[in-house]
Amino acid sequence: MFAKVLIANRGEIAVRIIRTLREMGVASVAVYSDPDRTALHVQVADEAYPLPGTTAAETYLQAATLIEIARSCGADAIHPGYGFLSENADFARACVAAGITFVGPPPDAIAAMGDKIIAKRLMEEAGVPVVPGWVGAADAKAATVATEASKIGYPVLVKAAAGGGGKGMRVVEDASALAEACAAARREAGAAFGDDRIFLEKYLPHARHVEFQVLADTHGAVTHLAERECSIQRRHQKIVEEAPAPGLAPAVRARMAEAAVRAAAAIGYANAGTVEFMLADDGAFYFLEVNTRLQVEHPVTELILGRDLVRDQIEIAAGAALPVRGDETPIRGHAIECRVYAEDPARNFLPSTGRIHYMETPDGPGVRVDSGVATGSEVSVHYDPMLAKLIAWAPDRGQAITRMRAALARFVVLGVITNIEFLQDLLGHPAFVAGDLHTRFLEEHSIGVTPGPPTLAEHAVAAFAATNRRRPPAGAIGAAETTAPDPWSSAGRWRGGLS
Amino acid sequence: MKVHLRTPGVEEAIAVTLVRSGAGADAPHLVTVGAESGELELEWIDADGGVVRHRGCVRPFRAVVEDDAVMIWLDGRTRRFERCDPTARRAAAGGGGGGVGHLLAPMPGKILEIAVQPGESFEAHTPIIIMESMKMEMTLSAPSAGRVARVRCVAGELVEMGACLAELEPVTPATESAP
Repeated sequence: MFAKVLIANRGEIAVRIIRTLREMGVASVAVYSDPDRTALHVQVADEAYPLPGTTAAETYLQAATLIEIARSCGADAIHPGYGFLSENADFARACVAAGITFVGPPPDAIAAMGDKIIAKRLMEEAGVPVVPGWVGAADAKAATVATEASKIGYPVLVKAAAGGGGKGMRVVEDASALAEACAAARREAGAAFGDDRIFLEKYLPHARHVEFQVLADTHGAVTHLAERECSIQRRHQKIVEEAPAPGLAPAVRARMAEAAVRAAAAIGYANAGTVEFMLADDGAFYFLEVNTRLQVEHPVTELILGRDLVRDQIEIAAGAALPVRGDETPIRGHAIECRVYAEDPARNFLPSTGRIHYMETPDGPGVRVDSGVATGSEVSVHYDPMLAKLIAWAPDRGQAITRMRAALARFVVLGVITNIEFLQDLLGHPAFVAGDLHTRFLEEHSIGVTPGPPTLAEHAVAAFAATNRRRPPAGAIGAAETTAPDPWSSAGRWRGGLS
Repeated sequence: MKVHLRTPGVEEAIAVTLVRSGAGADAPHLVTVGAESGELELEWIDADGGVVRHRGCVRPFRAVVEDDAVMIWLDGRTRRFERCDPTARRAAAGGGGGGVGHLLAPMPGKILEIAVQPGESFEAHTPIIIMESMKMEMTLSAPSAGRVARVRCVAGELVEMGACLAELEPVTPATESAP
């Protein structure tokens, strides 16, 4: 086992990885940009070293600096978390070259899956169904692209070969918008990934996004750890995930699980990964992509299986044999995750930045909070606006929804605008409760994004807070010492004895 | 005590009157908002919040006061209010229809590209500025046909939400109709 692991990440995922390392008795090393010098992940790590600079490019994406820090502090492994360098094959190779274990799959598997065009071809060869589409040449003429798009049939999805997290992705409803969407996708992909190749896919508007967690060891064994339903998305980014997928027919589930394991085996996968599928109304499913890293939504899998996926990742990276077999692990209950974002649902989910003046997270049976921020944290434009993940577990889906709604109602963030109330409304929507989910759920259902007028009590509290100086807390230590009657001193000094 | 509070997205500030309904320092509060009024008790517990007692219910609240903003959390809902003096605010809002429109940053972020030149004319929906914030790219397009009077940002610049990015003059404005 490793003695010390460096976490090449920030925020909630860095905090979450450090928690497991501590449980395993492995020392943790955090890294931090200038704005993150007092961040939560820095506070909880055993050691922390600076990455001078502000932007992601100057700091958390500095592969050479990260490896140098790992080397000089004696870390024998690097956990990349998600985002940043987690799906960067060159970084994984550089770690190996420096004699540091990369907690993730082999670099070649990352490279193959990182190129969505290659990934699609590999999956087709492995007999995994893929979404109908067109993979064109980078210099294809606009007319060719238009012809291919109409062959596929609108709506089509323009995607970046190097894409991820919704970047460089556009839904095109008809031919008139195609050229502009392709240009925008190219520009976005070029800026984000340094690779502006795009391809077209049939857009499946009523399909569900269902993904399978896979786990493979370095000795060739592959298994799956059940599925997650992730259809609730805005801007192609997930905001609510759950496990297991509600209403998934056992036969379909079995076929998807088998395809996921086949997909992972076909690329010589090792460590934790996720095979994403689109699932159509008729039970047909199509390969979407493989995320060669720990997913944001991994906690829902952990809660229904009673596992720690970060522990699994670290043990596998250290050479252990597969700790579990998916078909032997019974699913227990239901888990839902809500991503709490600093964004304004009333203004098309635009990011909100600023200082978190006050934050309070819910707790109670079956409630888990993975947070990267606390009271006093700054939310800047430089990083992802996700603040925390709230995860609720219960014996069944209905109870999990109830528990999640109650927990959301006790999640307080003052200072930046969040989507907490939006999530409350979403979880209470009849279609969500019924499990009638698809990737256009938020476009088709009007969730209460515009808050109603403030109530009398809200006005009263605001006026009270604005005009009343807070009194010193009645139970404060200082106050107690000076004002509480002391029976001994008063008895001695003033009375000379008890009367 | 009278406070003028405004909620984002609502033009007019609302006058909220909060007085003790009796003599003692612990007497319940009487709150009046427009034609509506009610009696409730408000009490701090610590520096971050307290409780509201109303018709047999005791509910926790949290509050943060910053400059002229009041942020509160009550019953699972978060509200932000601006404290404002109604006369000062009306002056700041300006007369409207001054001829020049300001293209404001809808989010804090980085300017990626300025797609127009000063003096350039454009059609409605022409992309003017492309900006990015936290992994998201956004194209700011012209609301109507016009001419670029002035560009007030540069590519690569980090801007705050609400920053004026460009001044646009509408050309031959069509007869305005109610939306």
